[in-house]
Amino acid sequence: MFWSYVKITVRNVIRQKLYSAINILGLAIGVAACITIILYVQEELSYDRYHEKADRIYRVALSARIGGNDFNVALSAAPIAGTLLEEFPEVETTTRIGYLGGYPVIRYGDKVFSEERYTTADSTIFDVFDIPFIIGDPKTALTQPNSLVLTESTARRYFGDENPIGKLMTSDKVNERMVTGVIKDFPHNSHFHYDFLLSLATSPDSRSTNWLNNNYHTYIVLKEGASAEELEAKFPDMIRKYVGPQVEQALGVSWDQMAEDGSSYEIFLQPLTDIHLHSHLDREIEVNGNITYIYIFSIIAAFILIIACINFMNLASARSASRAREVGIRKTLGSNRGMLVRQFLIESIVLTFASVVLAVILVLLILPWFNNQVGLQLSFRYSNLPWIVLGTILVGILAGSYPAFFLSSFNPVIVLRGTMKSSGRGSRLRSSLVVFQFTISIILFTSTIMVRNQLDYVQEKNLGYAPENLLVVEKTDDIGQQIQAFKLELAEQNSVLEVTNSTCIPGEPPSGESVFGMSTPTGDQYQILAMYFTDFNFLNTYGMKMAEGRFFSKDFSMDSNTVVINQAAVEAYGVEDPVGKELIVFGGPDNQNARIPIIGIIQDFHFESLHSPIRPMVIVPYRTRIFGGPGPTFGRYTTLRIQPYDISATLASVEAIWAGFALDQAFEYTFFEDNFNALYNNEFRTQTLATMFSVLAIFVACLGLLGLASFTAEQRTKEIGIRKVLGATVPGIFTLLSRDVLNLVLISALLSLPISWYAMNNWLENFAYRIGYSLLTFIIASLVALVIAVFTVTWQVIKAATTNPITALRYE
Amino acid sequence: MIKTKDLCKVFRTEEMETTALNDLNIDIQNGEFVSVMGPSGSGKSTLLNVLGMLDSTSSGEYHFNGEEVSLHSEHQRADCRKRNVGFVFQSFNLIDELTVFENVELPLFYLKVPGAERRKRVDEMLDQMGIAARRNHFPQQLSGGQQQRVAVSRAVISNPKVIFADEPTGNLDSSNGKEVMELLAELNNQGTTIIMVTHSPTYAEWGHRTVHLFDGRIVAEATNGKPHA
Repeated sequence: MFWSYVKITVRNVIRQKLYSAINILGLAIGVAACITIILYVQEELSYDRYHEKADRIYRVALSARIGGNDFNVALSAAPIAGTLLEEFPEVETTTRIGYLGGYPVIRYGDKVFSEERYTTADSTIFDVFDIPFIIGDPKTALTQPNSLVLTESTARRYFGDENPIGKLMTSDKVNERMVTGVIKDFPHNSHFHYDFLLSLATSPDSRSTNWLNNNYHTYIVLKEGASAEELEAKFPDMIRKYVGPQVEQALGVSWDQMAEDGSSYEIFLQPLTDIHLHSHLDREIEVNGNITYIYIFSIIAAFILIIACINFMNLASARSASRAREVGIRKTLGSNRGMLVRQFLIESIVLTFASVVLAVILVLLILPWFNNQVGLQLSFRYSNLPWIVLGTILVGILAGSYPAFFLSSFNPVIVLRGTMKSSGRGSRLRSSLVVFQFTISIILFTSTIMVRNQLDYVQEKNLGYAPENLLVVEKTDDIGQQIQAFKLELAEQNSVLEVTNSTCIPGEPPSGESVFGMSTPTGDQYQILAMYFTDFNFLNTYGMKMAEGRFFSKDFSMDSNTVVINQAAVEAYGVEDPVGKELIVFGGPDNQNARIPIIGIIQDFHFESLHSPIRPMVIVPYRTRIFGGPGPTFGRYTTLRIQPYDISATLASVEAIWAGFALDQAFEYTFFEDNFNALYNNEFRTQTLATMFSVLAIFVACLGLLGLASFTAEQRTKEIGIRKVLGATVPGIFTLLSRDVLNLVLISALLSLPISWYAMNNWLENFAYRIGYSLLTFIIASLVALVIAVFTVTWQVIKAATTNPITALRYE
Repeated sequence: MIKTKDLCKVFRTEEMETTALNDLNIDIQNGEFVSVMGPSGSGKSTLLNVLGMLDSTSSGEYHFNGEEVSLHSEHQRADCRKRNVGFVFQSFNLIDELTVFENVELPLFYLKVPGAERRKRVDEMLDQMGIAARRNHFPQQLSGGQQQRVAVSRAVISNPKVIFADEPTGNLDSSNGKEVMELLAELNNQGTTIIMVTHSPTYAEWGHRTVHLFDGRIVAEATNGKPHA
């Protein structure tokens, strides 16, 4: 029985080529999209779950409000780890990973690399995390100072096939580190990926008792059954005991007084497995994912699948007229309803199965390309296959249930008499399903365009400087004081217009953030300012503008003891005529606060992504005495404003000059715009994905529409024939037939307006600087959907409208 | 075999009521060949559908082989139908997706006859009908006469007690029509009861008697001269 149904299904597929292609292809695309998204979601949800103690590991983070400024950082102070272990019995182990500002240059033999994934870590890191060793002993690898553990690929990079254990590597030509272990590379679903782990015992700061410098990512393991909430509840007392006195000493204000002034200081725990999708603190180790996008893409996956299922149901019910006779005959010959339901369900499951097989093949073929497009490393998980089979049967039943119960209900007397009319109810249902499909399509389409517009906006918005034609040579701090000579030589090049060296550039985290004070008529005001250290040519090179006063200049010998602040800082302090006033800097060597004159106000510029508003900042020239000693004298970034032509020649000459100073060290550069735009990688990925999937959704919906149109035209062949006999023209018939589609798309557009409005406004709130919901975009999206829909049905409609009426009438 | 008493069939829509069969009384003996004639709309097809248990009665009694069918549920009717009744239609009503063999096999399928026996019976039937060479063809590949022969084969494969034929010759030319009539007469000779609706007085005469319907009533009944061999 079963095989006979399969046989009939296969013959039906072959006989009804258009119908079958639409059905199987449409569903296959839907399922392929769905599987791809599920792979993506599974990947994102799998982060950090591979650690054996994953459900007991927490990261210690800080949320504080001091002087009206909020800190939300993934860091904590050096002594916290030890204190937690000593004072709270529920803590089993702790470990710290250092937060390093710079990137060392590592040498072994003739191998030299500037290493970005280099950090310090407590020896207990291997007790907390599952980090498999290839060579070495996790118990002792990081216990001694200057011990270095490498990942497998890094070891191969420096040592080839040589055994690296016991070898010495030089860091910044200053320190020698001994390799004590080689570990497996971190899997891609880890929230951190380091190539080097240096024993934290190497750093004297690791033994610091200062609770105010937060320089460590601290992780703790709770004992089985211990509650994180209960532990967190004990933190306020710990903070009062340790942080309170140190704050009092630094600021001269009592802990209680600060709390009264609205300050707060909270240490909290983040479950390890929540970090990748839920944590958006400052100073995360890597850019994390976002749970919102997981939800959005899951919904899109469901939508595409539903659209494809709707096609299936719609086409099957539209074809009911041609299946009706078969139902009638089978009933006459003794089939009961249950047997017919079974037949149609099996048919549906067989078709679904074909689609899913096709879909899996599609996914396997497309995944490499897809990964490349969106910058992911998804791979097909064969462990999903049982679920896919189960899903197939479910989708088959879901998509087949309506036609099965609908078709099997036919009365054989009526269908065989040939007087069965396609019921009004059926066509109304089909119309609503089409409306549903197009509503989703228009929403997706509108959103895609708006995401694109917003990203264009953030890229084109005036950043407060000219981001074009800026070449950034990185890690120039490696040549130390030679930077001056390097800059001079660069400036002599015709292709180089301006050169500047700074510790930081827009798009990268500021070089520091510190509390500065200012005397105002209402008393001293304290604000956290982001800090940049630059040379005198920073303003000119970037093309920034002053609002008041002047930037640093060689013409003023005193300028290495002045600062410039931005307009946002002026506003934050709430002072008038800030030029000439002084910034109060805390913490000199003798705890004497220093005062530095402000010589100018720089116009606000975006030094962070447009997700955040422009924060108060201070620009400090090199050598300025700050925090009790002279500031840095050179920085990591040398920015060149270059001629917009002959870029490759310019690059070659800059590299040659660099080689003259840096000798064996690699020339690393970026173009400023590329670097800055990387801040929107998450959004670019969203845009790429949303574009792909909305195009797919519309395509699948149109496939369905094409099928429906062909059946409508077929069904109405007689009506069209009669109308033509009575004098209807071809354009008249065309209008008649396409009007239905037009109405459906218009209804869809109306329905999608509020939904897309709500969805897009929500998304746009992620940006501090954003476009509004654009009605024009919505109208364009709707029109495009309309045109595509009309275009889809045109071929079928024209075919029907131009048929010779005699043929049409003979069709009866 | 078939006996009705005051049989009525009324079709109701929201606006109107149509009486298709009106207090109809008919008595058909086992082994009889009855022709039903009448103008369009007189209720011929409805009578056939009701007697063939495709359709329910509105009122009155209907005894089939001693069973009171008018009280049966649809499910019971379907069960009774597949065991006792075969149909032949004007438009053949073969399933396009099935081969000749599979079309003929279908009733046995629904009777849950085991596969080996099904094949044997269908092969014999096709042989007997002279269409064995066409067993793997699809209906569209056959002439009208051949299609109707397949349809007749399908109607008799389950050895029904009664065959209902609704204008079986309506779509055929005269030579093919005659062939089909000969088939039916042969089946009748073997003992199968046949009830046939037709427009053709010539074919009607192949029956033992002809019943004339008008507005849902039997208005005349005539015994035919001699049945054809």
